[in-house]
Order: sequence, then C-alpha cells, then structure tokens
Amino acid sequence: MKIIMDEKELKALFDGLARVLRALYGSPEPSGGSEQETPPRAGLRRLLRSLIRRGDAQGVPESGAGGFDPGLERMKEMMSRYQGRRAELTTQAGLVAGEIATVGGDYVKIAESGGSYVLIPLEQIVSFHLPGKQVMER
Amino acid sequence: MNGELQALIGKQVQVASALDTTTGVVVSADGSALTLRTSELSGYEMGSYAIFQLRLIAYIRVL
Repeated sequence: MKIIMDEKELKALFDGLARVLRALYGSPEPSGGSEQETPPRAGLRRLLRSLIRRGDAQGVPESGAGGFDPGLERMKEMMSRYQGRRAELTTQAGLVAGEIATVGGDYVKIAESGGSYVLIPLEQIVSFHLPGKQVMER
Repeated sequence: MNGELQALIGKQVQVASALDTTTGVVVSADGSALTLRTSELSGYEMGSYAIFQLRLIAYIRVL
C-alpha cells in the first residue's frame, strides 16, 4: 500500500482517525506507565499488520505497472485534454500518428488516417507531440 | 486495456515491440499475455502462434 500526501494532509488524516477512535472508544485514560495494550489498540495493530502483509504479498510496485506513477498520470491527463486532436506518439517501436480517440486507464487508442487504429499502453509512450508543438517528453 | 484486447479476439492485428513487428490473428488475451496465430490454419496442421508479454508490447495496430 502506498499513500502520497503532504504533511498537512497527513496531520488531517491522523486527526480524523483520532476523532473516529475517540467516538468509538471514548477518550484515552492516562496510562500511568502501564504497558498493557487496550483492546482497540491491539485491534488497530492487528489491522495495520494485516494491511502491511497484504501489500507485501501483492508485491506492490513503487511505480510503473499498476503503481501510481506521477509522470504517467500527467501524460494521461494531457492526452485526455487533447482527445479528438491529431497527435504523434513515439514508442520504442517507432512513431504512431493519428487522432486521439480514447484515453483509457492504462492505454490510449489512436485512430489512424487509413481507418486502422492503434492501442498503445501509456507506459510504452516515450513522447507525445501535437503537430507544430511539442507537448510532453518523458 | 484488457477489455479492449478481449474485443480483438479473432481480429487481424500487428503487434510491435522494441525488437520487431508481428502480424496475426488474436487468439487470446489475459492480464499478462497476448497470443496471436501467425499462420493460416490448414486442415492438417495446428498453425504457428506467438505469445507476447503485455508489458513488452509497444503498440497493437488493428488492421
């Protein structure tokens, strides 16, 4: 599991979590130095452990296939904005030119002038140009 | 993309990778691989097939 947030959002998340826990189990009593775990704390610990184990088992990547890649998200957003326009996309296998027909979750569909269309995984796009203007280079 | 690939089963496509380009008919597609029949089926032979790892496909042109 991977969460991306800044310090302010992190603080808001923990404040919200604390409010939920207080509403469920009441305000925490001063511990008085006792190390014994209260039931909600033990439950939370179990939940966190299971989430971490699940993340390990799924082999969650840092970025790329299936993971959140900011560069890829930006490219997807950019292509969605230019949907219906002619574009040139370079891939490791060469150039693909045509109209941006669809931008899916992990691919873009290009309608070529001859009537054929091309599916390109977003991860395989090296650069994205609109005729006369360079839009993005990875 | 998997949904798009499922819709291509039985269609003639060109699969391009960094190394080469292969033309054939899509036989199957799942989350990790795409299989093409690269030869005509005859009554006597099973034909030849190419299996591609999806993550290594640069693009798929639908002809």
